[in-house]
Amino acid sequence: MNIEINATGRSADPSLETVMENWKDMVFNTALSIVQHKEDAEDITQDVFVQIFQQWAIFRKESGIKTWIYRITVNKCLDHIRKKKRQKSGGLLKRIFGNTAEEETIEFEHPGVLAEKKEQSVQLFKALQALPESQKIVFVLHKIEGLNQGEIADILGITRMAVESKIKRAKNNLFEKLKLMYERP
Amino acid sequence: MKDHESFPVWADGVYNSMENAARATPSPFLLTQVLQKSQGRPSGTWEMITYWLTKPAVAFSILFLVVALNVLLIAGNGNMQLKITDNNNDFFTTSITSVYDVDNITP
Repeated sequence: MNIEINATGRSADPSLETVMENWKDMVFNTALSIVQHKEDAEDITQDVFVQIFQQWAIFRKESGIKTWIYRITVNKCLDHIRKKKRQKSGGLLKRIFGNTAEEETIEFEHPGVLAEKKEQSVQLFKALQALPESQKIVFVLHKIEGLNQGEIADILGITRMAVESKIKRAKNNLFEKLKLMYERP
Repeated sequence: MKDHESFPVWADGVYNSMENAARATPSPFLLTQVLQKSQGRPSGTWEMITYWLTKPAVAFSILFLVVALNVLLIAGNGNMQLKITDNNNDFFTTSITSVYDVDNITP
């Protein structure tokens, strides 16, 4: 991977900066909603743009840049989640001496949420943590990023029917989790 | 325990709490960080090899293999040495017998 950098320390290809400027919020917001951790989301965003810059020359505009960037972001998030899971299952000493219970109960506050809905969004993200990855991703893309079923289908490489069913299941599961949280606050 | 009748209202509120939320923005130094990260990545074959070799898991595995190989070689050599020593003893006995003719000692 070689990105040319000029004397001022900036990318020699101005289009790359434009790409980043146009899409950085979308990438970061998606990653943050999925992983619910600011530093991890920043790390994922960096990785996403490194990959975009690497593959910029060979990017075929078949699927559209937005779909392509979303796809990279989702894949990086999934990689990150799997890596975290591996670290958790492998960390025997951490499990013995560490306080993993504390780690799991960290509440996530999305920085963009309206002040009056802050408390509710915390509950939403708490419930979202318990969903399977595929449902969580579909929910984030649909409900937080506001994408329609066709766009989600293109990003994930599945049919619209599959997306629809995942959205339904995610909603049902979320309501089940919320019910538990409501009954046992 | 809360009032069960108000659960649907509460749940709908929670479910729709991200509506009209603004997008979160990353740190202002994202481009610099991305450029730094991309420059740090290996590109050539040798750089790739060095990159992998410096990973602790790979480095320790290779070290373990080298140590294991050495142990095996030393153990193998020890057995060989014993055999060689036995052969030398036989050869020495044979030579002494042939030189001094120890079987025929009468003058």
